[in-house]
Amino acid sequence: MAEVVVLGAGISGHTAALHLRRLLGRGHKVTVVSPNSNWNWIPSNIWVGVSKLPKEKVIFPLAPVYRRKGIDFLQAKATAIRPKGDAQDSRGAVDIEFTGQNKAGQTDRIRYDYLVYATGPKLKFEATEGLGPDAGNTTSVCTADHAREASEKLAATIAKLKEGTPQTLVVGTGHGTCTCEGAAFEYTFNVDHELREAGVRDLATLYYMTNEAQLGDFGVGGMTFNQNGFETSSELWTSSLFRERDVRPIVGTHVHKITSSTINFETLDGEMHDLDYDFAMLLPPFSGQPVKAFDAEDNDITGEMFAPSGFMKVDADYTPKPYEEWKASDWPSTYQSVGYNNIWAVGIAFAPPHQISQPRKSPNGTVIAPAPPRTGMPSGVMAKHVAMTIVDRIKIGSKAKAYEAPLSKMGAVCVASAGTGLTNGSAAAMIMNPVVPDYAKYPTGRDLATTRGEIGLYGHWSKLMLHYLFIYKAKARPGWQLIPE
Amino acid sequence: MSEEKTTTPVPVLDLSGAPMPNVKTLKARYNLLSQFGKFVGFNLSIMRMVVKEGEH
Ligand SMILES: Cc1cc2nc3c(=O)[nH]c(=O)nc-3n(C[C@H](O)[C@H](O)[C@H](O)COP(=O)(O)OP(=O)(O)OC[C@H]3O[C@@H](n4cnc5c(N)ncnc54)[C@H](O)[C@@H]3O)c2cc1C
Repeated sequence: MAEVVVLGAGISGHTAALHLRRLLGRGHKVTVVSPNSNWNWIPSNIWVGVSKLPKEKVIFPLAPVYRRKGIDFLQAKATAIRPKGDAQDSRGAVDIEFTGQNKAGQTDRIRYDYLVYATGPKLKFEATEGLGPDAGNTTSVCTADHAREASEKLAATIAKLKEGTPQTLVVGTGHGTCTCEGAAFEYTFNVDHELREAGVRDLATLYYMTNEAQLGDFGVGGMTFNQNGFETSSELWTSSLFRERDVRPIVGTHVHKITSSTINFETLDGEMHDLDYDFAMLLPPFSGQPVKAFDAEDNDITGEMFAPSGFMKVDADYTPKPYEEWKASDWPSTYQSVGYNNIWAVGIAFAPPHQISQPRKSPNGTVIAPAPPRTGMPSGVMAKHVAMTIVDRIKIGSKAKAYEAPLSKMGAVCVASAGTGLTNGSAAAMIMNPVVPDYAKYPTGRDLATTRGEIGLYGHWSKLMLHYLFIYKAKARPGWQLIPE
Repeated sequence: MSEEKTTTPVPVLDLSGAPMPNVKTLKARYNLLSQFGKFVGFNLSIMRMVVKEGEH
């Protein structure tokens, strides 16, 4: 019997666990370790953040799904990985600390034959003074609870506008090295929609504050779209969208400090600015989770397994090289960890070899460089491919070839959708294919036949469809495996 | 912004050169027939990517 342990039950970990269970006979054990009792369809947190959906519609409890599927679930967080085991047992082990199941605070050491590391990002609000819900100034939509709090603060701001008091709203990134600009863009789109729906848009000033050097960069160096026989850029597309909605963009920013009323930030030209605000949703930068690694003699080998960012090193080319020399082939394809052929890191948890968007510094030396996004669709695809590799390794043997799912051959979808109902919503829908541009293959870095950016009601239908389909799939309802990742 | 607050000038990007949609484009965004066509096209693009991803 083989034991597979999956750390993390987000989009990638949960997908890996379901496919492992589906493809492995009951003679093998699949265990998921995750500190949260719920699964969260994170892309729909945006709708929670503007009160269009209650929090309960984007989460569901994991335990009943795992019980039904025969997956063991430990509500705990991994604190350390021991890839060579310990003095008692040479099998790999993970140190865990329970966060629920009436064992909160208790610790344990569990063994594995195969390990999937899918712990997602640590939301590093502490990187910017005063950033985030705990500091009490700005809001976030990164978790369902954060999004609910954002919706309450936004409602209070709208109430003030209704009383006739002008308000300043800021949406964007709270640090120069943030990622997920697509989520900030989407929330901006939704906030604008809410303000219009409430009939108070004229009293509100809405800023989009971003670490992107140009609008439409989205942490991927921008995109080229084919529109009506012309090649156009995501920069022009986003600029048009913001001009139409009177959103005021401030680009190339690094936020230094936030108080209850002011955002102090630097721009790429090195100038410092203060922006007074009433409501702000600013995303945090991400790092890896604080998980350590030890060898069998208890020596700390964290630096061997993890990059300084805290993400796990996999089969990427991490050789430092200048931006001009970056290639699509630097990116990983199997996600197998460095040095261990029974450990993989998927989703946000793997260490990218470098940014996709060109990193920049201000004259003061401040790094303003969007980190590469690792979006939901590729996270699910990587997880499925790793699950298939593990199944082959168990069934065929350790020589079985690993499945490949490089980001230079995978696309991503981002739909910024606002409104409710089937006829009064609106959306800006983007497909980027592949995520990591491949200039050796495509003159514009991406496939013009599938890479697109459009605005219209249909995007809203697509987002609704994705919301229901992915929650259905994650609940492992009949036929779930037929729904693509 | 609240009246009692003062703000130092912030470098807002000039978007005056960005194209604005005309009436025809705005109407097309809500035309159920054309939107249905785009909906099908969008999802076919996604499926095309998914099928290609499955090939490697
Ligand atoms: C607001 C927002 C909107 C987004 N919209 C889109 C979109 O429209 N389209 C898209 O493709 N992507 C979108 N994304 C990105 C998408 O959500 C991520 O790509 C995806 O969630 C990554 O999956 P993951 O499994 O790597 O991480 P996560 O989904 O974050 O899951 C990580 C899991 O690990 C668990 N964990 C944490 N620490 C530990 C530990 N120590 N031990 C064990 N488990 C641990 C967590 O509890 C969680 O279960 C959006 C992201 C945000 C924040």
